[in-house]
Amino acid sequence: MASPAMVTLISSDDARFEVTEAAATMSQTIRHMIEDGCTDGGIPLPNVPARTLAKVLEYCNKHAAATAAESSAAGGAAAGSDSGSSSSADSAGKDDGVDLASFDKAFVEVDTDTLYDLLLAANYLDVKTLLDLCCQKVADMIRGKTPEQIRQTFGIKNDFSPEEEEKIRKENQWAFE
Amino acid sequence: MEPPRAKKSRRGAQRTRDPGHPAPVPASAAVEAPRFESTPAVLGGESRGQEAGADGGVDRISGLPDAILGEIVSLLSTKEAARTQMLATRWRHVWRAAPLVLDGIDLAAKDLPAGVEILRAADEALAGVVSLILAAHPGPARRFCIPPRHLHDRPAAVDAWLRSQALDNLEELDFCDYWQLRPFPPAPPPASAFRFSDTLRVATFSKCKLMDRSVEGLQFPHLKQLALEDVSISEGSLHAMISSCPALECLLLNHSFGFSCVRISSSSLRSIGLGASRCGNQIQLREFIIIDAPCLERLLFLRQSVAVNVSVIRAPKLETLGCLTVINLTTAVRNVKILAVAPWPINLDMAIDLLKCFPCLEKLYIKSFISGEMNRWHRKHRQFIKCFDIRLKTIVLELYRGIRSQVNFASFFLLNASKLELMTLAVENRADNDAFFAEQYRVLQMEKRASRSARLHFRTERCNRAVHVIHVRDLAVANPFECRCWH
Repeated sequence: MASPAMVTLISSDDARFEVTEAAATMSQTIRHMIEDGCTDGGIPLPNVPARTLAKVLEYCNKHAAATAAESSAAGGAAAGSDSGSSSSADSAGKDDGVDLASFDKAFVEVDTDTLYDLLLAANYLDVKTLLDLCCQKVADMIRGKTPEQIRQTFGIKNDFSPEEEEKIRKENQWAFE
Repeated sequence: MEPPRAKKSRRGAQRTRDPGHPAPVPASAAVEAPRFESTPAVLGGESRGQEAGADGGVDRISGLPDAILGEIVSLLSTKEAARTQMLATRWRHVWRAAPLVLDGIDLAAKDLPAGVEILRAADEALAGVVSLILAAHPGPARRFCIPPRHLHDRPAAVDAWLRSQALDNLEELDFCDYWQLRPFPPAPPPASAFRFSDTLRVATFSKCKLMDRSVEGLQFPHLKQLALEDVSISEGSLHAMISSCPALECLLLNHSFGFSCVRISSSSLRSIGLGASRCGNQIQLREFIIIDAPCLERLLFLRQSVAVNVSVIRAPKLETLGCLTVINLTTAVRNVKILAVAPWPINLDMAIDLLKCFPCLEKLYIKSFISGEMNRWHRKHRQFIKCFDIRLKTIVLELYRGIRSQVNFASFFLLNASKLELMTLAVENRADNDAFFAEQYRVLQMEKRASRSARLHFRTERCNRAVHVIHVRDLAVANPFECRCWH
């Protein structure tokens, strides 16, 4: 197998990550930088710290690999030789949709701080599917909760006066029925 | 493809991460094994507590940019989205700045007692709320969904809603009638319903008349999903509409009338759902021809009470087909990998014909009762077993009761399908489930199965749905025959 094109990404705290171009270009921001030829000596990402970048790249690697597997799937079933544990073979192509969905689900099972960091990074790096995934996770955390429960979950401080709060409630009475 | 190696290296790095000194880059850089340092950071996060804010922690969510907060809010239900205005001053304007999602089904009162007058009053109240929201939100809108009976009951109000600035650049227009609460004569949507043709991505028209003059000359450059359910439309307009959607990927054509023959030539369509039923003395669908659909992957037949001739001339990527009630394929669609059938009843000879007809078949869903014939096969199909390579990996048999004919039917696949991974038998829930399962393992001769990795799974949940397509968006799901009712 020919070795794939690699690029080096540099986090805000100067950690260097070498990743495949396929994974890196899931980020539109990075894609544009590569297209503009600014890759020599690594691509600086001054807004993304190493721990977040690592997590984002975990996502990009998984998805880029799944995309590659899908496009080469047609002929390449084969090679299922009895490798004992079936779980290790699971990620190797079959039912990738299911596999990827469970990866995504587990991927956003993180504390809220990490989730915000991912949101900001996905936004800055412009990785649309990751941004959607994280937004969906936050929406799922809001769903079914009262305003007070939402505030508690996210540490939001209610800075309305009782009068203001009453006014908003009145204006949007339909949303509380 | 995630090699075990990558996992190991991540675990190894757990407690040694130092952002300033990343792990050295090994010389043999592999595709799947970039040098992750992620795990320690992620694990470290847990020490800060799962709910950062629960104990008076820092409110970081409110620090996110408006665009992201807006995106989150527009993923909520209409009411929940509006309620976020209450959270804090930071959130006061997020809902208004976010794309509007106005879902009349979400807003409708639930669990109303029956009665036409009660329904009318509830609809009146709903209409009032819709007007309020459209007046309060400046737009643009992502989704507007309203039951089509409002088109008949209050055409002027619907027209005013559709004209409101809040709905500018609408992406999803949904006149869907999920519950069909009461009968009403179909009415045409107002001209204002078509002012979004430039921006629409998803459109559902149901229980209405699409007039030639309304759709004439329209272009839907971004429309990806189109549903016409219980819609009256002329053959000319239907063809014109489909060909005016160059990006169309999913087409749901269900119980619609006014046309008798549909010819599909589309380079973008990936999934088609078709349902037909008798509709009085209206012109009725008789013939459905896929002339050329190079990207078509799924051709799905929903509840059908009238016979429609379906022919496929060119659909090289068609891999998912069903649910077929009459198995009479004049055109071979040999690449099909996922098939659902429901002839009533089915026997083993028919199933073997299916295997011959679809040599690439990997997943077979038999949605009907396996007949009372004995389905003996050892001698009768000896030749077939010898020369035919059964590629089936998954087979699902509904309505399995373990009678002799069904045991023979199922054991044919267990004992001869060498690639089989999973056989699911949908059974009735009974008091002695475990004893029944054990007995079936024995009579089906699981120990002699042709594929050592094949598993036998019993499903006791009932599911009467042959194809899991309720909304046009379900057409985008890869395998619509897999029951998702219980997940």
